Amino acid sequence: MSVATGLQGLLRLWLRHSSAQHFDDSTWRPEVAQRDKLLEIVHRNADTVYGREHGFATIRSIADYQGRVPASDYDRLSPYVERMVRGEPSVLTAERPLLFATTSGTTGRAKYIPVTPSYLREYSHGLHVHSYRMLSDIPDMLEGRILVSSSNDDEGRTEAGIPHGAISGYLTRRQPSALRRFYVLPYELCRVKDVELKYYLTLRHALAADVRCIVTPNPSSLLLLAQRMGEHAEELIGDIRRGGIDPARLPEDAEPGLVAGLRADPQRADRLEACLRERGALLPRDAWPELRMISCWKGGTMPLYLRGLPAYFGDVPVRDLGYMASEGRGATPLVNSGAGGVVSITSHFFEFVPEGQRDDPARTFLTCEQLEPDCAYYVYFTTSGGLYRYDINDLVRVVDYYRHTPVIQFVRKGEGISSITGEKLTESQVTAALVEVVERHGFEFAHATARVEWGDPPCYALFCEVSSAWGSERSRHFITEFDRALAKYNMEYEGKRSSRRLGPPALKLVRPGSYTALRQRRVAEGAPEAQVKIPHLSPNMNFGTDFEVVAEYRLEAAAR
Amino acid sequence: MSDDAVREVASVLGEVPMFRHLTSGQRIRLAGRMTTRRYQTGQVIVRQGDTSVSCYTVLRGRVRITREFDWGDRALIVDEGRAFFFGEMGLIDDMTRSATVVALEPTECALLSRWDLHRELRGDPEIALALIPVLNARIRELEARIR
Repeated sequence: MSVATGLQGLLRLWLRHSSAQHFDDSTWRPEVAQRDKLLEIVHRNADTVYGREHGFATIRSIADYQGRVPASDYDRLSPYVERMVRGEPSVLTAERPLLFATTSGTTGRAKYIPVTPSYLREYSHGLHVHSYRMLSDIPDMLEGRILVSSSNDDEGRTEAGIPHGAISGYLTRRQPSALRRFYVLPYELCRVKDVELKYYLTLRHALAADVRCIVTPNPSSLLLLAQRMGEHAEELIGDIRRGGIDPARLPEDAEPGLVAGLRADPQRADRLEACLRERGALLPRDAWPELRMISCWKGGTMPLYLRGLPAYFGDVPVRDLGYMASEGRGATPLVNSGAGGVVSITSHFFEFVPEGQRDDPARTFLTCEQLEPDCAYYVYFTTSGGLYRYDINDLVRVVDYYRHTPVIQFVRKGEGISSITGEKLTESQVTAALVEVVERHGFEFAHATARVEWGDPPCYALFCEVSSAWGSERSRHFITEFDRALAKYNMEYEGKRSSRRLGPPALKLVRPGSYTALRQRRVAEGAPEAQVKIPHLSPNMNFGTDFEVVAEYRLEAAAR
Repeated sequence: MSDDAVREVASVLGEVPMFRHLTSGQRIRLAGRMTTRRYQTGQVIVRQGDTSVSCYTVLRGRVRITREFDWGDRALIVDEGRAFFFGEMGLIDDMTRSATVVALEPTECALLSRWDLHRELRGDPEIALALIPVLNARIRELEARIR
């Protein structure tokens, strides 16, 4: 048995005893685990401003809690969060925050989520359950290295001197050194703002190693990584042969940790060069033949990107990373199939509102053991980070059960709906339509986003980035099929189109690189790179106005 | 589940071809690892393409199994009732659900998770040996139906 295998065994044992066994046992009686978790959170925070205002000290049951504490969103909690940001103690949480996790850049304005020691334990608990299952399923994972992307946890300081940034970077930085040696990327990489440089450095580190597992939230990042591998193959191989990195690529103030350990490895360079010569391109599947698993988001809009992975990564199993956000971890995937995960019943307390009741004042708040199969619900989090009955604006669907605990899958953000004439078009319908057009008619594109375009009548404009020009006939074919597929997935869309209250959609082909530039802008604005989501349906009427449209196609009004 | 409920589930397992050859004790132990769930008429029990964590045995009621093909056609595979066992393939190959199952009338199922099944298989290899020919037959049967 190698040292790495022995260490993996010990790590598995620790993860099992610290987290996985408790989670597993709790799936028999989720209602008990959830009640215990809720009472633990409210009693710990009874003597806080929010706890006193809502009588946390006398809460003895879920019903008490639901009767005394209103459902909330960030706007409602933000006055309390702002007091914490200014350094006032015991406002939402009895514990002082270690960090404020920022969620800016994914949707709307920046939000500050308090990360307390207890919250960090809740968050890590879910992570440990996930890791335990991965290590159990891949017995030789630590024979190689793991590529884990993370974002900057120190974007700045609040006026009270508390750092704010991404929780992923914080966790990476605090990783014990015995484990960190298995991570192929240095912590310092999460601070690199230049997206192109970040991808180059990621590849420089990772191509020198035997990568067994890749963990990154967004599969579109994996496609970009693979494309950059192809584009920079020769320079990367040259750097590996010589050691270090071409100094011209690095800014003068680059942190030394970014290039630490980048030794010369001519043998590895030879192997990569042989792959490049043999195939004519350097692909992840050749560079990392021992890659055992990719873990990334698979729900919501992700299937369109996932279908691009096999061309670069081969038939490596892809496991969902889990339904999670800075606000908490909602579900932990335990298998590779689909995008579902078991509700994280030992991490936080969850409530669910049936999809059709969200805006109903008499809406019913359900707990996880009350969820019905194949039904969709909005999720409300209560965490040790000071979020109480917090509407995260996510819609999930129940796809299976592990014992008595539901397995849920992220469907879409609640606001991913567009309705000009009552068609209530959802982002998941746009995703389904795009997937159908791609799979049935063989179109290839990098990114696409639909948004409303006002006119008489109004219509949907689809911004689309393609790698090579389609030409007029192919473009018209694409937008015709997209129009048909939207009508298939949304009856109201079909009705509004037939009655001409909605005009035919417009296809706007944008210059290659437009979406990479968009990603770069979002990162510059403070969004964690790995979490930048490209929407398939944008409610923002200005979306795409800064893209350079290289060709535009509109169907005739009577085209359908 | 109460002891009576476990015995009832074990009794239905005795009618399932996959578990028919197990001893009464083996079936009782398997039933003890199961949970039960009720479904209303028209309710989807599992949907094609979804994550597959548990396999199901119909205790009472009737279900319809349909499959949608890539080209958009939908095929009715079969209607089944008590002692129909489904969802086991995904537990073995870790693939998504291959068909959608809907309750045709009020239905109750017993669910067995992949890890609880695995625990039983590890603990009692005779169960695994008993399952192999049945699984093989199931694959051939499904292939024949699709053709």
